[in-house]
Amino acid sequence: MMITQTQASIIDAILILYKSLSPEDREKIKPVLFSTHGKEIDEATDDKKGIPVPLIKPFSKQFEYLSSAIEQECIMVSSPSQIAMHPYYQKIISFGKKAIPLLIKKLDNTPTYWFWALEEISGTNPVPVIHRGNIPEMIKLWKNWAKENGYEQR
Amino acid sequence: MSRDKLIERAFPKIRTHYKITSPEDYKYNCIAFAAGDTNKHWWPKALYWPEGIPSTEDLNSFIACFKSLGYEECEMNGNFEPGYEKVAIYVSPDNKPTHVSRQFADGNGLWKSKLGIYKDIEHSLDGLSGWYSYGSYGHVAIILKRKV
Repeated sequence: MMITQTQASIIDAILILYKSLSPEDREKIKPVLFSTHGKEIDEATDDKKGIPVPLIKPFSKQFEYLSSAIEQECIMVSSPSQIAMHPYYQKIISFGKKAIPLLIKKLDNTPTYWFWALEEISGTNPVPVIHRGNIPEMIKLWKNWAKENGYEQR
Repeated sequence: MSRDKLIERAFPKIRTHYKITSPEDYKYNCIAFAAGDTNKHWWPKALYWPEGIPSTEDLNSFIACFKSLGYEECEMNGNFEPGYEKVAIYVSPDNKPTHVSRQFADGNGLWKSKLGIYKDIEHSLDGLSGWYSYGSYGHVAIILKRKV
């Protein structure tokens, strides 16, 4: 949906109001402000972790749906933590270790999104400080880690 | 002029007032571009961050990062000043850095940005402001400049 200039001005006004709120009140309305473009959610949702996401089977298709949505919505985001706050990203992290082979495969095409999830799920980071931010090197190191730990996708 | 629907959708204020200056490239992000590095992603904690600068995701850390590169604060003056280049740091409504734009000393007074892992564009500062979705940058919190 394209936002008009008038709508953009209204949103700016809302944000000025938002900034005038107490931290407690901001927390209350954050779920609304930070929702995913007001996207309609299917009635059948997997809501066990409080994250409303469409329930798609098999797991690999659900992963693809969630990761593709993140890639589209976050393509212009630089902040890894801003990307990680996305509800779909949180959902992927909640999948745990079964998501690791799919995340490793994602490094081939959209690597920058997935380092955070890999670290969150695995509880490790094979990238030494000297190579952080060097994306080709980070890909190589995470793929080596996956191979050594039996996570390479069959 | 080549138009990009993704950019126009993400930043409604930009309308058609921008110019694409590079193709998509995942190897560097906005802050790296603003710092003159097109080979890495810069961001505190998770990615490259200059040694000696607090690796915390807040405005002070970003300011310290650019001060380490020779920039100083300049009272929100985004106008072109011959002999100076500038950087503008955008923040979200909860004051977390989201984006950095750069105004080159030999440029036309417009600002340049790398949009996440997407394209580089030339734009006005206001064109990227606003808070609409996950791709939004919020507003400019501070501008710094350095003599070249």
